[in-house]
Amino acid sequence: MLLLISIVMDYYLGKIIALTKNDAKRKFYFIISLIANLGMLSIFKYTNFFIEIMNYSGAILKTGFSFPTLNIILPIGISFYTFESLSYTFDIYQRKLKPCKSLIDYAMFITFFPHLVAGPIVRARDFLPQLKKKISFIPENFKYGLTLVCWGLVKKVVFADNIAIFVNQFFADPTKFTGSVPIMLGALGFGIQIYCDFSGYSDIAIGLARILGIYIKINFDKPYLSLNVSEFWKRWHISLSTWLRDYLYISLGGNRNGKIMTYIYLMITMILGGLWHGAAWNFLVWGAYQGFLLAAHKLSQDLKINMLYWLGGVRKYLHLIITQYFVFLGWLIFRISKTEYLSYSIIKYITFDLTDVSAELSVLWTSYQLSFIFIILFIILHIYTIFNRDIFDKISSQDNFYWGIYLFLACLSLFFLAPTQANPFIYFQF
Amino acid sequence: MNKKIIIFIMPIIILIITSLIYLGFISSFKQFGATNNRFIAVLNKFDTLPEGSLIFIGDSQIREDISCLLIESKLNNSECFNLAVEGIIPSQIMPISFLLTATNPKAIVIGVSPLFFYEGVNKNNDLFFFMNNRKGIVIDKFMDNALTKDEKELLFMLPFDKALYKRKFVLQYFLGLLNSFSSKTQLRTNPNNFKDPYIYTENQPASQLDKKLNDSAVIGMFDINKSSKRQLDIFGHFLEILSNNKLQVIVVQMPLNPLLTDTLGADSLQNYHSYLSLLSQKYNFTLLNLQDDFAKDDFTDLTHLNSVGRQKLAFNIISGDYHIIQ
Repeated sequence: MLLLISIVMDYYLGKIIALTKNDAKRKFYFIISLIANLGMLSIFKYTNFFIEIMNYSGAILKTGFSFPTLNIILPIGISFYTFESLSYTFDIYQRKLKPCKSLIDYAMFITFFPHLVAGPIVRARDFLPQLKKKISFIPENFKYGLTLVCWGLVKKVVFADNIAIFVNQFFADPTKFTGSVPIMLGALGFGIQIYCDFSGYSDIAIGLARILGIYIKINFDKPYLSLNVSEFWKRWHISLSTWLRDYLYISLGGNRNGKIMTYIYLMITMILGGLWHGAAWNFLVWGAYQGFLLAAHKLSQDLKINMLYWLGGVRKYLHLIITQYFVFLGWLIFRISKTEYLSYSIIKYITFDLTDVSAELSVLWTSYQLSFIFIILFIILHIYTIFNRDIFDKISSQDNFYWGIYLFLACLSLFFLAPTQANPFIYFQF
Repeated sequence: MNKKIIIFIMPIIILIITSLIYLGFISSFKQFGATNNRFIAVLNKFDTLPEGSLIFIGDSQIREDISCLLIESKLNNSECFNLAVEGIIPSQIMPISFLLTATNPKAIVIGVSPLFFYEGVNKNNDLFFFMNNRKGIVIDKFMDNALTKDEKELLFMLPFDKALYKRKFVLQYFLGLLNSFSSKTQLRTNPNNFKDPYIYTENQPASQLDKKLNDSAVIGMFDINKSSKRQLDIFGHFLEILSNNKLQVIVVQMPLNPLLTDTLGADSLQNYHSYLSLLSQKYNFTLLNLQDDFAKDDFTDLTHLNSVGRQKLAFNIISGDYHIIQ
């Protein structure tokens, strides 16, 4: 019902905005779309968070009032389709897109099943023109799509779910470990799990769409090979980061109002981006942390600071390691919602405490051998992709015999290597 | 054939072939880990168990402490079987109660300790999986209410889901094989040994025992006040079933290392004893407390007897000190 309201409302608002000549009225209709979409998202996603903030403030100020939290069920995919609807009216408002002529086509854009639940966040200007083409069975699309679907399933079911066995147990109480190395391994494990989980889903969505003849842009591009945080955000959840850049950061002012304001806009964009993931303090802090990293990187670029210039060729690898060190610290903030666990983990992560390192590693290895094997395997595969870009193009363009072997191995690994305990996709909760 | 059709049909054929390969492999795969293999062997043993046997059941304490070879030498025309399974808890024993009663044993000896009723560590739910679709496994109304959703799901899993569930043991098995190459100690495991199935051959060093004794989580497992009420209730129901079938039941409070009992609070031990005494009066079974006869040197660790302790226990049983053989 909510989805239907959103579709009908934005479809007609898009038409009205396009037909209206008066700029003030155009703006008015666009603001209606903005308020309605963000209003629905806020009610369903953030109401309890606001109530908690009010209760917390009330307790600090000793006002004596306290509101009960509400039993609200988060509609599936609301964060994703709200951003897609908003991009549609925003593009029409900015005269970058003509309104869709058919309600059915527009509904198809929003509800297209592969991306409805957890993205990628598709733009109307990329999707709608494709509906005008005749849909036909193209063998190349089918091969490429199925190749991607299989790889996405392997990433999710074999890698993410096996690593989740360690991650879920570890983050149940990270304070059980006294040294820094287990915390770093926990962060590494979760970073790889969330990547395989979410990029696996994206691959399945993009692959299914391709089988149906619809092209959706890639959502992840080997983010853990980024040499700085800015590059990381160009490679991680690309559909969200470009959405935030185009519709939030640039709308706020981008880099048009001086350097200080640019840093502030970056912070605001990433804080809101963090909150988009979930209504909790750790997502807000994670967003602020990412904003800070981006602003710090921008500042170092503006000041032309390059402390590692003397390292020559090794510099690139050091950049890679330092970037990932900070990225994975961010995953701790993202994963841990309990304040005491989070502060403990962050302190351990940054202090390089080597207490009981061999004993703790031995316990972890014995208990979670399988998860660690998949972590190591993932790192090897991730590095391998440096030398083999466009691997899916290559696989799907092989003749049917070799393509069949790929499918055969993918199916076998799904049968033999998937853990018994299924885990829902992490991004379904957003 | 048309190229388009081949590309479309090939994945379907591959899916069918891989499914068949998997199902073929998994149907002949029998390596489920030491504990599960032991449990399967125990379940299978019920088919050939002679009437009038002396049956010992319980967890690893019974497995380690009871030598049926020594006991049998004093039994007249009846056999002794040690059917203990490591980590087993009352909810996992209860479904086999009808298998037990059907064998019409001479006596059933159940070895217990506070750990037997603790659910925190002993939660090998896979035992329910291996009871799935087994002849003689019965879930009465009480158990239907007592078992959790996950346990029942394993117990009543459909064949295809069972085949998929089994894959968790495949990886574990191959990892275990890899580890066995680097492992220095080889455990004496034989799932079909029902006479003398102990596997621990070396005493744990004092430093390890000290570490355990100073670990509140370990000590907590032996505190009856922290036991699972569900397991205590199920154990009561299990005894009720055996009592209703007029079977001779002996519940043995298995000895714990004095180092452990000294660490446990007196009231915890008293509550544990009171609980069993109450059950004993209610269901009219023999309750034996072996605690006082064993010193710390009789143990390999905090709970299991070593070869000296095992012989001492067997001697006491044989010589009639505990009236197990009548």
